Amino acid sequence: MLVVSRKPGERLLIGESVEIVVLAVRRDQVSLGISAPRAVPVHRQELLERIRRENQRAAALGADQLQHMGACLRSRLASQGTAAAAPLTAANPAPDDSPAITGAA
Amino acid sequence: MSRRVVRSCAPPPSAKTGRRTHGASATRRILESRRFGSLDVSPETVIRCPSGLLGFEEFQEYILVQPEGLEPLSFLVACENPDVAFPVLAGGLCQPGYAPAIPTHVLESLGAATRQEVEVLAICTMAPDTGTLHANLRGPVVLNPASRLACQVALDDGTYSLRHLLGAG
Repeated sequence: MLVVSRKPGERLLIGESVEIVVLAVRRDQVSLGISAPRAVPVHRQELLERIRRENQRAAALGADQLQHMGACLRSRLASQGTAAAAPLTAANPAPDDSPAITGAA
Repeated sequence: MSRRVVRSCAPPPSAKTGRRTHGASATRRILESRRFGSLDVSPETVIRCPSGLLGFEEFQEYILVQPEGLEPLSFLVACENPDVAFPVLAGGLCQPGYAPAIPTHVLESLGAATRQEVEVLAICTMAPDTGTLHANLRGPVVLNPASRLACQVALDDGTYSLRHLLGAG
């Protein structure tokens, strides 16, 4: 692993299109500014790890648990007056011009 | 649990190995799933997920099935290993008004021009200890039904919960 010491205001360039600037250092926390093309996803590592764990939990569910989930959801939807077999195409409207959330500014 | 049909088609092609294929396999095939029985897969129903799902990057082709008795859940079943399946719900069923911002480059990678062209699915889980049901609204699966391309998106902004409570067991 490349180890680089930087001071606030100093920058790192990764390839031709990714730039990282140290904005501030306070106690045990570093603020970084990251410029990258939108197609380059930038994530906090722990978020990806948490999603990975949720995926693994979901894939590990047993038949009994899935039956239970289905029954719970049916009764919940029925109590809300929603069709139990609502199609997956249930609308998820959102504005077209939603701002990007992955990829750095 | 009911079987999802049909043994009368051609046998599945020989096992595919690892890396992504460009496009779904060209013939119908039968997937044998311990959980769902025989699943009849025609090429046009295969959903390609080139990046895979987090933790399951080795699987890049899925089908979406809705087994009887488990409604309203649907399942993303990995074609490369049909014993791997993720229960999903439409995001809007999990939380009314659920409308995560999908990055433009994600839409483009799925062949969608606008947000309205894609469906957003939440993977559901159940806490084994408490029996409470959750939906992952922070890492939804975004699917373009037209191109049958999908990907899992990590939402960094924290608006939506990784374990949105669906109900107590």
